[in-house]
Amino acid sequence: MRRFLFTILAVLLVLSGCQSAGNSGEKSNEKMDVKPPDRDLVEDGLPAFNEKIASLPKTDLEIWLAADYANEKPIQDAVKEFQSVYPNISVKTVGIEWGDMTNKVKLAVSSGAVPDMAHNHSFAFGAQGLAEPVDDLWKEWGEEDLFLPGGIEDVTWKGVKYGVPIDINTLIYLYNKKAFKKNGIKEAPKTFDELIEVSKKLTNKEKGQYGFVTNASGWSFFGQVVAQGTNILKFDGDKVTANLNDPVVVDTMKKYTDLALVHKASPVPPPQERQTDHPVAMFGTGRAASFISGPWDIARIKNEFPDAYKDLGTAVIPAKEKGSVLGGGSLFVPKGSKNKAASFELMKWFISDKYSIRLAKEMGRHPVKEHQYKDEFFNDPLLKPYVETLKYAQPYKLEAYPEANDAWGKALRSVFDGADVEKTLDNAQEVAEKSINYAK
Amino acid sequence: MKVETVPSMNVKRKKKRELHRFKDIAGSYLFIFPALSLLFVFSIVPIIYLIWLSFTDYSLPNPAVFVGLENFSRMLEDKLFMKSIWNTLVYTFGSMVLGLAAALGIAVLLNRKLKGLRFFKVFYFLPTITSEVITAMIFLWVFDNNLGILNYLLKVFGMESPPAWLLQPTTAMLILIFIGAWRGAAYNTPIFLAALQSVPQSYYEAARLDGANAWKQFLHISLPSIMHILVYSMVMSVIGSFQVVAVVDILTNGGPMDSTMVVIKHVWQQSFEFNYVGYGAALSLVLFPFLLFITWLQLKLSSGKE
Repeated sequence: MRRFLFTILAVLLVLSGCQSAGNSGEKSNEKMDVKPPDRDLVEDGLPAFNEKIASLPKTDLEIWLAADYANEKPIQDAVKEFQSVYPNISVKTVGIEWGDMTNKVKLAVSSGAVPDMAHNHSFAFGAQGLAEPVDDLWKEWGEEDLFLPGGIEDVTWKGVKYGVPIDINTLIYLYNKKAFKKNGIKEAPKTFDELIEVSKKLTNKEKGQYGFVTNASGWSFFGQVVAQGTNILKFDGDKVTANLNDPVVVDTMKKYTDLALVHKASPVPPPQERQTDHPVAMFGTGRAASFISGPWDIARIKNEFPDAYKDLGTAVIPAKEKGSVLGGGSLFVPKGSKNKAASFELMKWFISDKYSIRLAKEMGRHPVKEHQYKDEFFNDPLLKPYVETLKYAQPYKLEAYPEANDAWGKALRSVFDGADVEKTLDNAQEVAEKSINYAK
Repeated sequence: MKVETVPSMNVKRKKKRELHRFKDIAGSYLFIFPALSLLFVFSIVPIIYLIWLSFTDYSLPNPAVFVGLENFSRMLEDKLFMKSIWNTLVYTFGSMVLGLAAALGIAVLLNRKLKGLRFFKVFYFLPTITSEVITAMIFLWVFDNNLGILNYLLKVFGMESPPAWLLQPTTAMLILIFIGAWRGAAYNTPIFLAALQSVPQSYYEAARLDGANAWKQFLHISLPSIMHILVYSMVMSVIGSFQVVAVVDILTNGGPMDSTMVVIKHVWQQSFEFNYVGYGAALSLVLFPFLLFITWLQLKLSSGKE
């Protein structure tokens, strides 16, 4: 009996081995006759039919998208339509938390079990050797001129492109029009000094109301630095140097933190890493009259605080120069994927005119191609300052150096906690220099 | 007819016995083989790999480069690591003492069979089964200085500017200790209760006849009888406290001014956020003898008392 069972088990094992070997072999070579569709894809706002992709053998694509994108309808519809045009390509979508993407991709690349597409800031992954360069595919595509310069920046590291931008965003000034009117303030502040004065005027200690809400996010504060006309990194060709303790940066951080610490016109930001909830909650509940954030919070205020939405006004960030931090995300092919061309083609579909506008309308994720802003959706007056700022927004490239990025965020937090601005930024500069040198 | 001699029979018996013994041992090993192989693959191999990594400069996805003792010398200059060890010790001591004392107190009360305690019994284990993340979120909305319920109530009761609990180093650490103790008390209460219930009632009866009051009974009967359980809970509490990270991550993110930066968060940050995997391995390797020493010290102290 025992012998019989052993024999059965051995036979099953051998058979299962043969089965799996057969599957993989079959899939990688099986050709399909893919014909162009009857309709004009370009007329439908989609990329033109690509013969090269159609001629690929049966291919399985595994794509890792941010968790709040993966299951959204525009994304799923784009995947479905892509598969119907190219039945030789099958796509499996996996949702990964934005913050976990770096570790997951690192581990996948190291182990060799890579997905064919991932979603984050491509330049940061290119800088760390985790993404495939795709300059050849961009050249073949020939549509680079249609993109907003910031979108291209998000995928470029030292002159090499590592992905395709999927959406873009930047920061604007959001304020309560009713509170402004009540305090005799006719328009949104235009300079930082005006912001201080307006915020002080709008603060009512007795009622526990603040004129402004600061936050301790290094990414968001970088927007202030750009708006004041400088950057925390200097680029000279391929050479990158840290500029965290630049006098303009020191002055901007001092003024910004003083809003909470000296003028008491803003609460001190909470200590948590996630800084996005607190300002919206303060603004939405009427405890604060203004804050700086992205267009995604317009939708959030509309949904969560409809009363506050009625009095919502927006303006460009009050500062000397135009501009802010460039946000959004991009798609890239992790190092080692063998399906670069098919993956790149699908990226083109996600940002096609048809799906980009849907991403904006249904998900609040705004397009990366300039002409897509001509859609009537962007005539919304609340979005005007956002569209204006986009032209001058700069990407947060410090993210390519994780330790320097941490030092920058920590420096801002420490100043809010009472540390000296100059000393703190000098220390952060030291860490950033080390981190940049290590990366070399 | 061939007659077997006594020595040849002895040899046969000996061989048979040896065969039985071998079968016994082989059978035992066969039974523990699955568990041992899992232990080997998921514990022993990673530990050996960790030791190797601690001597390398390893940044994913690049291959590891042997650097000798460089990571260990770097550790000596890492002020934040030293600070994180100190913070973890403070947290461990505070949450262990408070948590175990509270657990013991609750267990003694539950053991007294007072009226209404059955109702309470349902709830005391709740903090243990609540996830750490949810616990941290609950306390966040209690202690947040602007939107928290505690400061709202303090303002209602006339306090003009209530403290910013999570923004002051001392109060931030005290809150973390409180949460650790709260969870620890919930976990240890049933353990202490079971231990207390196993103490023979005759001891207490004899003590009562000798005129011992409740406090003396607790001090001279209950406490010595459950000492072995207390030591076990202390060791587990130290190990558990050294692993704290989720609550810190959500509530204070290691701040203000690194005053709540705990050692595992520092190791995680170095290994995965900054991609210094080799250095992270060295940091975690140092923790092992450290924990071993604390455990040994606790066992030594408790055996001395017994």
